[in-house]
Amino acid sequence: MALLGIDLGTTAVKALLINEEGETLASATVEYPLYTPKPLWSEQDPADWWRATVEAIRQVLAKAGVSGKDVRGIGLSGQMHGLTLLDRAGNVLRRAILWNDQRTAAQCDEMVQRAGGMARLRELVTNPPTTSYTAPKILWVRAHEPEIYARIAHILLPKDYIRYKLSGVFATEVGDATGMALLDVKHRTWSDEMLRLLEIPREWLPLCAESHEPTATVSAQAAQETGLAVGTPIVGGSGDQPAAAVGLGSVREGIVNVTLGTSGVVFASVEHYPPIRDTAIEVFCHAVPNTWFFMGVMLSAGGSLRWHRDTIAFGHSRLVARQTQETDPYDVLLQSAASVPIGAEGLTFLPYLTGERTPHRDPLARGAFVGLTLRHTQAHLARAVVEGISFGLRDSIELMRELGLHVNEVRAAGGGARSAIWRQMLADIFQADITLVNSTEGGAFGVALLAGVGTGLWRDVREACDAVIRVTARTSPSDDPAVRRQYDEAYARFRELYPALKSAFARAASA
Amino acid sequence: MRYILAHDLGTTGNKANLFDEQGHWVAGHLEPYPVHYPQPGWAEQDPSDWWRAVCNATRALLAQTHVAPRNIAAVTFSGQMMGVVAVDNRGVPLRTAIIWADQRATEEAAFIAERCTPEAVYQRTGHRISPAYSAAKILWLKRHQPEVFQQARSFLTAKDYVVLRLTGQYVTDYSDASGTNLFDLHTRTWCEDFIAQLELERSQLPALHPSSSVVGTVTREAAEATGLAEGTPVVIGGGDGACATVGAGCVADGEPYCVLGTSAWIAFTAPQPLLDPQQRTFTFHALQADRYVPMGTMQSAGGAREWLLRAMQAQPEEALARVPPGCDGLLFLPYLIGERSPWWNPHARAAFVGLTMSHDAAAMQRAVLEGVAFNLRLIFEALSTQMPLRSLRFIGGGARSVLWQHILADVLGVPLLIPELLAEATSWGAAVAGGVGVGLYHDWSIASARTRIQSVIEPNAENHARYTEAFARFQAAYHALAPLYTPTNGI
Repeated sequence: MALLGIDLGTTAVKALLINEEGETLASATVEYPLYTPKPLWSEQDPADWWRATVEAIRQVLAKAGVSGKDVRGIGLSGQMHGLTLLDRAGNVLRRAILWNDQRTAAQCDEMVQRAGGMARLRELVTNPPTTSYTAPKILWVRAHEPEIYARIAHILLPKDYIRYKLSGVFATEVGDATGMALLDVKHRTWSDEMLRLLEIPREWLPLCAESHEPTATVSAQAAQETGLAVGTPIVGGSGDQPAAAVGLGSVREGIVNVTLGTSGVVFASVEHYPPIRDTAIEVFCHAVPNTWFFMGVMLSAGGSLRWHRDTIAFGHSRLVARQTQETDPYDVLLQSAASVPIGAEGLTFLPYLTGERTPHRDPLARGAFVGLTLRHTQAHLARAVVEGISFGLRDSIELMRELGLHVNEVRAAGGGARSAIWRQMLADIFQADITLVNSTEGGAFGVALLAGVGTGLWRDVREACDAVIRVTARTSPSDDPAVRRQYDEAYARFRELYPALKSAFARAASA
Repeated sequence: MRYILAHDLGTTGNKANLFDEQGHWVAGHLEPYPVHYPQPGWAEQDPSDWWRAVCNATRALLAQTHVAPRNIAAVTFSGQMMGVVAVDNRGVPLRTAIIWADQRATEEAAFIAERCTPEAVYQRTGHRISPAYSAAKILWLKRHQPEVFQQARSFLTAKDYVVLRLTGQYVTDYSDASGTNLFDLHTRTWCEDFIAQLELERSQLPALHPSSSVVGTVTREAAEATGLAEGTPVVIGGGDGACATVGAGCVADGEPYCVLGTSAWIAFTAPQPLLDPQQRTFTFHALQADRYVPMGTMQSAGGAREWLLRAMQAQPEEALARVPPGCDGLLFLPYLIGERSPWWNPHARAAFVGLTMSHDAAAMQRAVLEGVAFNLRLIFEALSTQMPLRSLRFIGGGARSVLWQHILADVLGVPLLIPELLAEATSWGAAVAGGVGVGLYHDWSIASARTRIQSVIEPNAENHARYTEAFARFQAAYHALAPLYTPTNGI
């Protein structure tokens, strides 16, 4: 028997089939367009999602040579926060407004005002809404598209629209629901009070399950379209970040995972709902019942390194010469960075090339190189960029430590994790072991495991992770106390710069 | 035909040039010599290297041009300033020369501040107290090499040592003296009170003359060494900054020029010293006996561009020109080796501030050109407080960039005047002093009459407005970062 994980991303959907040992049988990826009708707007057509998902499921079944009836269960994951609106007949009312759409600044303020202040808002839904969150998008439609608002009967998140198309059932689960800013995160149920304050009818919202719980089964019509078998169970699943964390085995307190993609995500499981306080860390329901997770998001992690490669290192004669032997240009950059002492001889890089989410919540923040002297070379600039990204991630880890988290181990994932040089730097900067695990299939893998739990293959999520996920590499902090001291000094310099330059960044934005 | 022979004793070599009685350049010859760095922060040269370079260059020029030695109307000098050559009563150097770039005398600079007060030194000499100037170096000799100090007949600068070898005279001129921290700009005399407070000897300082003075003639011994005719008049000449000002043709009051090389400065001729309440600028004495040269200088100008192009691939100037003025909010603070004018902060560091994903290599390289122009605007504004400065002559290697010409014109909001290339402006300035001194040239106006303006770059009003907004952010960014620039935090 096989398990099917579906990850509905921002550029493509991925379908993954694994066997009961957690081994990949096949995967298939199908892309779809993103629409930007105005600057800062970001939309997708749910019909594109469904068409691509059908195609991906058909492809992955064919590639693996697995028939629909051999699929034991299905898990759904994907981009979070996106608003999908359906009428009473289940027709889509408008294109979905995505997580990275920035149109709702006024509605975020409106939510704070309706809640009677930030403190009360945190009591109700834990996280102050940003433009990413779903609830402000609902308020935006009410204010700007009243004719559409009047016809709303159902509100779904992106992956839950796929569930609806597979089964006809309106359901979500606690992880993705947290990202709507309508969930009582502590009690893992819709916040009637928040809904009342926002005047959003509760009947518009889907059922809210735990991530591993079966929520629906494949309908006859969907079976015909996809090649799946009628009645195949579909579990709750989760948003892309918690699903990926399950896939890395980040399901116990003390295990943190850091994803070094274009953005950087610091993710930590916690076993108790933390006391509410003003923090830049976001707190969500995790895919393990009665646990939560902390999340810090750096907007330009690998993105900063790619910018450095394309802008500064590209065409640099010494690097080009080395690239004839090396395949991965990031490897060349990191080797170049490693040739320079810790702290890049006083040079500091702020990695806020697209603003920053954690810890500054400042869309106007910008990047900077500070402390340049005639001594500094391309290699110093490279080292400063890698250190700046790593320090930005440490900011999230330090905020989590302030919330009481003890960090035993950091599991690294994403493109940047392939570099042993970077992993050593992260170990020294975080003062924690950096590990790699055998799973590399991301969110689709995590929700395939949840499907196994929901269909009784494993007793719970932790047992599933223990059964299939193994640590394959471990990097410990250097024994040399000077290394820690030098990084701490450089980190202290890094910490000083954003407060000093905050207003300069704001003025640059209005230039 | 009669000629003026001008030697420009620079840091890397002596550039000797011959000019005719109409002021036309005839020929030139360069003799290089080394700088020695015996310890970090120390910089020394051997005075005998200078003398050998002057002898060799003179012989080479005379041979090359077939000019008869008796047709040399005067020998004259431009020289690197602020150094110290200690000579005994036979005119023999007691040790190697400590040159302008030497920074060893920091404790002695602090001692000057304690004894004379920074404000009084700035008001009288036109300069901040600095280990770069001769006074601190003389004090260092007194403290660390007392035998040298005691045997010293005189403390001379580079060109004054060569003049001593030519004539036997222990003399200097007002402009070179104004680089010692001991010369009173207002009375054109040594500061007797400072000398007493610092426990120095007035007698160890050379006699003061205007730059166009004939201070002696070539001795028989010097004639043999150089190939010059015995009795040839020697005009003392001046420090390189004062010579460059005349050489750029800026002899009328209030006509500024900017030299953009590795470093950059702006200066002009003025009837009074410019004593800035914020001490952003300083003032040398001019070659003219009744004029001054207010000046502001920055450390990294062309040097900042050269530095960045070592770290990344150079983009074509057309690509930089396509980046909008202000670089979409990206600023470069050009303080790669600290800064002199206007901040006088040796701990300042360079920075790119305001980077976004959309900034490319061309934007970063344009930001460097703009950042240098913004710092030059700070200097230009500081210099404009005595009299309005309505245009700027632009020379030096950086002035060859047409884009940089336009950026600077637009940042400053005044027309930029681009003179015909004068490769030897500093020598020419010295030659004018020589020609005026022996009556070969009627007066100083030959300097401007010989300098033709090749093009005028008018500022674009719209760009000027955009740059003025960015200029405000440039200053704010410096002030935001300045508290973080300390000797200990390693930034």
